[in-house]
Amino acid sequence: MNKGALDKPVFLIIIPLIGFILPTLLPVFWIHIFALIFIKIILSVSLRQMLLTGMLNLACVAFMGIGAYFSGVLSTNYGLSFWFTMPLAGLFCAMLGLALGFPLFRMKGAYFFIGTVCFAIIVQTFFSNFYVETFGGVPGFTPIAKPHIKIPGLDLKFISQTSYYYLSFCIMLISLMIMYRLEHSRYGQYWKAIRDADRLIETLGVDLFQHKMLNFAICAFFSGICGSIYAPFIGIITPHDFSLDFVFFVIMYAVVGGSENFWGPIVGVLVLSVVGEFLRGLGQYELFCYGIILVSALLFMPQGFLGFYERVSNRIRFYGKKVSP
Amino acid sequence: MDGSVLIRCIIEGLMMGMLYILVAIGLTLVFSIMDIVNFAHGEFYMFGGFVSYLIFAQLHVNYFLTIVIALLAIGLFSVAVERIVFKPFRGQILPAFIISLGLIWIFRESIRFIFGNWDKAIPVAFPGIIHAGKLSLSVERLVTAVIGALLIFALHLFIQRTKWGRAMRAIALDRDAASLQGINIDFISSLAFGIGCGLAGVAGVLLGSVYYASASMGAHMILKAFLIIILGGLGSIPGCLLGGLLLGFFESFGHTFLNIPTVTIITFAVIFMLLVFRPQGLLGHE
Repeated sequence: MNKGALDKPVFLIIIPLIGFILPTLLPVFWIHIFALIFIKIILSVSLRQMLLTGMLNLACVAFMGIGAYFSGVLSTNYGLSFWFTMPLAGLFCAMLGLALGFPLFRMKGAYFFIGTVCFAIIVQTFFSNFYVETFGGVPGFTPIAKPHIKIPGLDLKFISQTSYYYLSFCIMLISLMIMYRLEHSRYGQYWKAIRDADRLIETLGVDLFQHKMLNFAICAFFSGICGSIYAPFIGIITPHDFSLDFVFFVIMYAVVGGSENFWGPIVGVLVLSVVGEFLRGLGQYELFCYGIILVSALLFMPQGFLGFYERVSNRIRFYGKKVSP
Repeated sequence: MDGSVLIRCIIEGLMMGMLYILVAIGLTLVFSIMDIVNFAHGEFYMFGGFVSYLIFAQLHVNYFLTIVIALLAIGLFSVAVERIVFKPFRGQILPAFIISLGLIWIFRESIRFIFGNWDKAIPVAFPGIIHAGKLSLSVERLVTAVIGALLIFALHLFIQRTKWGRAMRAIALDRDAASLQGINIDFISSLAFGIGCGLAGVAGVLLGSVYYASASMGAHMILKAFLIIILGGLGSIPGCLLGGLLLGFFESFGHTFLNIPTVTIITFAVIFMLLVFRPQGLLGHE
């Protein structure tokens, strides 16, 4: 494992600090954008966690949609607290992921991601056309109950952009911590081994199926959590929000940032979302620019931003020395 | 329900099946020869629709000539795309898949840039309705189905009878052994990519005159094509034929007797269940 500059503990203190004081400096518009960025970071890091096993999970946004509808409907129609429905949405998605894993992990390679595409389409069609009274159909489900904290002495309702900024930021920090620990644990090693040499570790007595299932369920869990924050934040959820295009974006973040490194998707989301706000001026040709970015990133720096940075910094460090890096 | 509805469903299913097969067969060819799952394949189909709009509807060129022009133009264009974009990723499924996502955006938005946002109407190529008793059939759909079937038969002959076709089958079986026998893998890969995308373009021309041309028509088609090739088995041409016909008939009957969302859910769920019990598809092999 290459210890880059970002792995130093100083950064682990500075980055949350910057995150906490940022809203005092930014206008409301950028606070909104950053709250969305944090949600996308959770999604793309969990997508990258699936990529560790060499599997591209195109259903992660579908799970996000399920989480959003699940917690939105429960908290609005049944009056349950957001703090109860959010973990419940995550658990529900994880259970669904486990159930889905049985058929999905029988497929290999290309079949797997086509299988996940099938699931994503089923979910989108389901929310558009079935149980319209409950889910709101194509126009979407709105209004959604806002989360609030009510303890003696404190009554906080999450309405402003800043409150959602802090909510998604805290949940992002917790999720990143969990996923970072997982990746650097025994399980993370198994996942990487599944990608590189699945036959080999199977002979060493590792249950491939079990580890893939675990990975998939964790990915689904965090996607569900993302959805349950997204729903009250935006205030309306439509099936179109969770279409395949959004998955392509999440994949783009992970790949352009660098899917080899844990920090890659985070850098990818930050850079591309901020750049994307400036591309917005191009109107409908925005997508064209994203396409160019994705294709040229894969052609010219297949390891992503961070891989590119590492290569350049290695080259500078070893410049003039007769040592092969 | 009477016989005329049944026959109309069969004709519709046959037509859609043939067009689905034309698109899916290219995907299957590219997958078996280059190990690439090209999600941007549907965009070449969309180009077909716009070539038809430009040449057939605007310049009033003969319909059959339009088909030939579309086959050549889109084929050559796709060879250029393959040389520039896909060549470094041959045999790597995941990066090639992701790069094709980027290509989708580029192609779709550049078509919107050139032709504008609106869907383009294309005049009917073969107007007329055949009346036979209670039955009335559109000539265009029959002709479309026949042209589709002829093209598929021609591709079958090409793959089975010619030297290049034999080279394609050899590469699909074992790339290294084929290369040892002196087969030029670069050339055959480009050829297969060109033929596959060209056929998708022809499907676009054919369906463009039945419906219309729009920049997002590829997105619907590519999912159908993927369904077909996983139904039949990735890389298997007979499987592709079977899958295309099954899907065409299922949809035409389903849309007549059920509603469309139910059919979508059932289709995807059936494919899903099929993959549980037969992960390699109906006619595929490991």
